[in-house]
Amino acid sequence: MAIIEVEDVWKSFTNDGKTVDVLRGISFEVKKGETLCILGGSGGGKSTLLKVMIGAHPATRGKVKIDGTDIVGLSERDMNKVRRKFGVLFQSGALLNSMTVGQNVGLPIGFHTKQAAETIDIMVKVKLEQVGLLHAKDRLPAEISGGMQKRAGLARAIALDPKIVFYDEPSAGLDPIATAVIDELINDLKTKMGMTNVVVTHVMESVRRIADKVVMLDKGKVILYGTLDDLLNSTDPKIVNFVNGHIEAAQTDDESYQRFVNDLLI
Amino acid sequence: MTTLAERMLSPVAAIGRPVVRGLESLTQITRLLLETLYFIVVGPFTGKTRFRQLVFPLMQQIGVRSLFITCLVSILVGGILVINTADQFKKYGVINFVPTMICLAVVRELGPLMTAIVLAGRVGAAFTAGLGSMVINEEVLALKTMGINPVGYLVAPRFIAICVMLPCLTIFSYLIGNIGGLIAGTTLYDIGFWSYIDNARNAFELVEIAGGLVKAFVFGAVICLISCQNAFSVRGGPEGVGRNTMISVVMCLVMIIVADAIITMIMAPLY
Repeated sequence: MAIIEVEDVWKSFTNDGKTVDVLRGISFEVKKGETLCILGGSGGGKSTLLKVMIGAHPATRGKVKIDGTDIVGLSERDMNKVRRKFGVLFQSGALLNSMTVGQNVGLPIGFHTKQAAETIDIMVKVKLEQVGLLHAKDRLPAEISGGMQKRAGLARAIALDPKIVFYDEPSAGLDPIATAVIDELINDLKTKMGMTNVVVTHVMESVRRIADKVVMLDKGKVILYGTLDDLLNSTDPKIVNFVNGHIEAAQTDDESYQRFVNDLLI
Repeated sequence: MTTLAERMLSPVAAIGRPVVRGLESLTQITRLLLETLYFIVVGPFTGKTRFRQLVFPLMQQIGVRSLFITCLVSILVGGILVINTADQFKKYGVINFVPTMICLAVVRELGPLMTAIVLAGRVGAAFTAGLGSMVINEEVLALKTMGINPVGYLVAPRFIAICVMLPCLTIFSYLIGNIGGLIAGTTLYDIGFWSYIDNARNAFELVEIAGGLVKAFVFGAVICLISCQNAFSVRGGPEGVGRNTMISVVMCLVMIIVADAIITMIMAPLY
């Protein structure tokens, strides 16, 4: 059963009177308990798609259904109900710097439940233990490493036991070992807690370790939606280059070449 | 390549663009004010907003830690006012009016104004830089995705804290500003200590004090809304935080003076 359905999603931004389509008719679905990786080069629209899926940017057109509720055009109050169903791990961890790691993890619990402080403290310890960070409970985010900040961010994202966890470049800025630790945690959440994971990444090693399904974006369009094997066995040159880490030769179409010539002449 | 029509319209656009931007800012600040008031009124009833935990540390940061600099500015302004005016008053034989004039100037105008200017530089800049950094580090987005409204969690406590602490600091400014005048008047000019106190006391009326405190309250709201709005509109990384902090301080100073002029015109018949 699909827990996330993305149907013909378009996202446009207008700057100085010019409209740019960043997402152009994206469609895919994520089944319950599955890990989907969203791949693509820089500027392909991965982060924008994630922000549309978590309700941070409204889609210009199309439907984004989270557990059956279409979040496009949803009021803030209704959106907050949907937000209880998912957690987000941001690229930087996005921990509140003025609070300790424990306070950060306890923030959504304290805000959304009427638990006593002692109960919240126990819940925080459980979540931190889950990500191996109990020893850092009373430390400030600035006092711990980037990998630990990511794990603390993950503990906060799963604090309310959501059905879905979104990850924005979880391995960005991390060494291979810290990346492997995060990947293992993502797999643990899927196998032990049945959570659905949606991971935006461009690290192929991580994709090989965690992905059940993949969506590959290029210039705002889906160029591949399938299993990990579909990705690895693809013969599309763009996908092959991405998978093997080859530099793609600059491709010039007629229209951009004409613009270049016109610019020179003017 | 620009067309002739575009070139002809460029002076109009040069005037129109800042006007449109100004109106956009005004709309955003008004929306922020309404949202903030909503969370202040409704927040305590939802059981989700823990203002006490958030507001008191902010009050300490805004009030207690600004006290010294507010007092320093106030004592100097009081003394400077005496030095600049006492000779003229002496010439006309009305030196005894100096304490009354100083007291009126400090209570009606300079107390709230100088305190607001100090806080615009110290606290307004800190609000924009702090919240702006949170925006670029995705902390504000993280709050949203946790179902926590950033206006209720970040702006409303700051609004309460500054609107309470700015009038409190203004009361200190009244006292210290007059002490500055007293010191300058009694040491540099031949005004007797008790004579100064008696004359100053004549100007200390409830309506004057209340008028100054109303101004302080409004200035607090102006600083909070402008600095927070500039924080939420930060774009483009740390450079954007620096740019918006500068814009925020300038906007705060200008809008404080504008608000001061409006309140003074409204309150003038009451004095």
